[in-house]
Amino acid sequence: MKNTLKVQRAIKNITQEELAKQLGVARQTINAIELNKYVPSTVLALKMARYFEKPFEEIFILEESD
Amino acid sequence: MKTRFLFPRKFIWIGWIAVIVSILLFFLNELPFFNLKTFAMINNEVFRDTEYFKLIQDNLQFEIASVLLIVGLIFIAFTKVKNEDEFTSKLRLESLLWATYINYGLLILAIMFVYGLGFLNVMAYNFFTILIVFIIRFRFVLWKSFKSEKS
Repeated sequence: MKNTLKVQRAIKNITQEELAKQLGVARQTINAIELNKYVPSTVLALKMARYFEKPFEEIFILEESD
Repeated sequence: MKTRFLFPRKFIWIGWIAVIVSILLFFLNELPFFNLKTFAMINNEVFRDTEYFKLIQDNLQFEIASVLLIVGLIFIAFTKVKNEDEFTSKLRLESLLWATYINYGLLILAIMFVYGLGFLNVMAYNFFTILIVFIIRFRFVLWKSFKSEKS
């Protein structure tokens, strides 16, 4: 699964740290998600969609291998 | 994040104190202070009949040190980390799996290649290796992810 988290973050112009704070997770978690090292839980993913006010599929995209 | 089965952060200090005290106890000669009456479910000493469920007199220094070491290591291993969240939970579980593999890998090697009384030492170390490997690996991946570049 790919994600556009970094892009969404750039659009909103906020740092990993601020986003992490808003979502109640650690900065490292946001970093790991952006580097595709970690797939967030459904709860966290939904929180992200709500925070960015974007549909879920715009932030998280399935790949061929999934 | 709500976490079950983890100790509050303060416990890590209690853990370290317990570990340090237990290491001191292991290296000191047996202190008469620890000659205590204790309840033994089984007591089989060489050249004597095995006794069951009896009060016996024994030096409990190593027993107390071992319990302190295990409890201390468990506290160090399973306290909440700063910024506890789903990602740290995943790192914790992964590290536990990893520690189990390494622990039993080492144990298999020891079973095959260590003979005689040396194997008793191996068994004694094996009480603690799984926790020690877990602590090292978990702290290492936490540190690595903390260090990871802000991109």
